[in-house]
Amino acid sequence: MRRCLLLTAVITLVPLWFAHGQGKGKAKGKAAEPPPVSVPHDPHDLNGVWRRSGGVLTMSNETPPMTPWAKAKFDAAKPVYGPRAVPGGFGNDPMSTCDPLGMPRNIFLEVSIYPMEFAQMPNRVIQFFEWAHSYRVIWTDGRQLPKDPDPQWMGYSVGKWEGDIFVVKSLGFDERTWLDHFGNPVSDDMTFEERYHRLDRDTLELNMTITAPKAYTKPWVSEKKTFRLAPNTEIQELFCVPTEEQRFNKLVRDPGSGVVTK
Amino acid sequence: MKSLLALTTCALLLGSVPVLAHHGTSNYSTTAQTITVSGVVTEFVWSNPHVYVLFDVKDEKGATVHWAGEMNSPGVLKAAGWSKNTLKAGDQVTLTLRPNKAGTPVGLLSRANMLVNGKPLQIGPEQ
Repeated sequence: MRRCLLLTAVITLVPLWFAHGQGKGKAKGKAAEPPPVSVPHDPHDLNGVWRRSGGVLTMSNETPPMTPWAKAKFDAAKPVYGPRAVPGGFGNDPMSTCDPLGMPRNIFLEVSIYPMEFAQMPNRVIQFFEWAHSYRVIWTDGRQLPKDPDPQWMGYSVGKWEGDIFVVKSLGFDERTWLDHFGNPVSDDMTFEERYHRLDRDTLELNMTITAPKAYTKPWVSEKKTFRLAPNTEIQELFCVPTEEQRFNKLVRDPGSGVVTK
Repeated sequence: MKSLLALTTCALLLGSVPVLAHHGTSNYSTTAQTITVSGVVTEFVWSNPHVYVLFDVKDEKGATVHWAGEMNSPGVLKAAGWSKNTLKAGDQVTLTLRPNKAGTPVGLLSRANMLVNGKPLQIGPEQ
């Protein structure tokens, strides 16, 4: 029993130690980074790989009241996360068939496991997401958002600096996406504002606001999300491959849910 | 009885090791409930977005039961030191899993305490 307790302590504490180090942008086996406040940084430089630390997997826990249209969509959604979770084989999360997550759900997924990367160019900022090996373009060349655009999974985005805050405004979203893992709906009239603020070399804050009168009776203001610079992390090739997901569903997810397939 | 109690307690404690997955884990029991099974790997599937292990286990009557153990993405496993060659068909394994609620031979595989061909597999931290 004593050996069991020792083994358990080692197995439990070692991962926590590594996870803690990873949150500080520390590579395996390397020394800790110096305290962030002492390191100079350019607040207008967002380049690099960032990993979120903590927070909920949606805008905030205060979901605004839904319209009847949105409530019907919400009730039809069968998530595999959160208080309404059903077994995986009985869910209808678009993610389970490798549909694009879209925005802002990509932002929320970065929280839990996967990092994102910004690459700034003279006329645009590219935001890479490890999940599904996807990216979006944020135009910074002064163009205006399109009026009545066709829907896109990631929407259309323009960005500009307001002081030290990079403000991104987006619209033109696809209603087939879910807003988050919990099945909250997206409407095609949704506008999405992100405000990125690099506080120090290692810390990036993000505040978001969703305005979607077709779905929510008032704007949904996010809790403050915090990202940490992960200088030793490289974005991995993480495609969601439909054929591989189909085999996974057949061999693992469906039988694991009690779904009988022939 | 005392040894059974110790074994059970050990399993419960080991089962408390955190596991994150990107697709939700609603199929599976709480982290406090784990089972340990031994068998032979038939396929180690290094696929996106899930890696999983297929393995055969003999039940108490000697019949072969086909098991599956769900893991995370190749990228997450790679960061933890794993590769497509970490397991291979024919390996004798003892694995700890969170069983599913439907009672079928599928579980969420813990990387924390694996035995491969009789030796502990110590590659990287659980994530």
